[in-house]
Amino acid sequence: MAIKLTEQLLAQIDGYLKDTLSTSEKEAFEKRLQNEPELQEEVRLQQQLFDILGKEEWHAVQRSEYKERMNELTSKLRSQEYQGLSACIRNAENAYLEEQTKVSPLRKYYRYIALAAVIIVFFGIYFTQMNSSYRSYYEQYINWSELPSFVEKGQDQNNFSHGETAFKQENYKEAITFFQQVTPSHEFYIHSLEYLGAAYDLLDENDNAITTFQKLANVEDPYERSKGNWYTAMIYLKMKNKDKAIGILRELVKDSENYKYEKARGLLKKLE
Amino acid sequence: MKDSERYINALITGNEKITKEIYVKLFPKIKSFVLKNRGDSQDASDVFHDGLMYIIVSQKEKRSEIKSFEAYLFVVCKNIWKKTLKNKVIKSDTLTLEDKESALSTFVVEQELFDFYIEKFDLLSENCKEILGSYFNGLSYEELLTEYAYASINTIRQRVFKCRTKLIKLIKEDKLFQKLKKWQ
Repeated sequence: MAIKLTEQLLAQIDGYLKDTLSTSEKEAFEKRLQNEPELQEEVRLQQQLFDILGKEEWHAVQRSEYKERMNELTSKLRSQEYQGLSACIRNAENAYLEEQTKVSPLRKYYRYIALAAVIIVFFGIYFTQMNSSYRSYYEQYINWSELPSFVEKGQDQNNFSHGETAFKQENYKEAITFFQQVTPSHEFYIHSLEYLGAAYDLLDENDNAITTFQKLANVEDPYERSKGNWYTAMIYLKMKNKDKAIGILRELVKDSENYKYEKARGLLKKLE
Repeated sequence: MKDSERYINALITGNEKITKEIYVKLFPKIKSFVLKNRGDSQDASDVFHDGLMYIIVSQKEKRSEIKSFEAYLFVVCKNIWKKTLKNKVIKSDTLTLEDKESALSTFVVEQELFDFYIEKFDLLSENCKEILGSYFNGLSYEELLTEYAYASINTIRQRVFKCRTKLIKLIKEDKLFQKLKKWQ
């Protein structure tokens, strides 16, 4: 006969699962568990409900449970039929990835328009301000007001939030002192490097800006690294150091996952 | 034919062309999810492959209607990734090398349980779903009281009990539950 799940019993099960029973209660409950397989089943069911419906945890199953089912599945997955279906998925994936690396006809078309636009812009710049053409790329691509904001109302103040506030008020010197104190363990460390580099750039301390962006170019996350390199290239353009900028852009176009990949490609074409 | 039916047919019959369409349409979203959650491109590619394999296994055994293929695949892939991350933590102390098929079959069982419970949970009234969801999420009766404006702790406790009993009944009535139990 199945156990009757009373409110009291459920409360005990919950207490046991959440580990809020007193030592004596826990001992008594565990003793019952040992002797009543049906109670074990109820506890397992409740545990699964907490895991799955509570959303936080993935409910992991031991290989010793559901043994029969797992063996059935494993041999099924090893069968020729399923291996074939798995291979079909992999082939489709390869075909997809290959296509991704090729330029789609539509994109080619865009490129011509972009190229035409570039030529017009280029000649425009060429005739009017020949010397500052590299700098104009920097001006075109750098917009520090787009940096993400992390300051929230009611949030604890720290070096990062102070720095961001100062930056927004255009007190770049003050912003620099704050951002310099943000340590690598801080959750927004990567963003503090962006702000710090931007502040140096806005004060025209170009060498400091480059050093900072190079720090960003050495973090773990490849996407953030590419950001650091992109910014460095922009500063070099601003300094009219075309060769250095080209060198970095050449690295950036090697991986389409990189920050501003498309822009880097376009720009490289214009510069080379 | 609806997209989801077309996709499922393609998967269980090994139609490479349409499977590629699934990649074009849905892989970028899964990839960006994995990349945002401490994974790399290779992880994303494995997660997507296993997600599709899960759909093949479950749909070949029992064809069921999937309203949105995209939403469903996303949930499955998210679960695979959750599990992978959890395993990464555990693996450091108890090193258990599993072959791909065993790992995938463990996941299949877990996802089956997941689908089963979610299906039953969805049959409850909106009010029950809300309250039970919060309760299983760890909220105490006191916290539930402030959140749902019930008259007293006692009323809310009764409400939780009633909804929970209903859910347990729905689960135990289902033949699949008996089957799952037998498999244990």
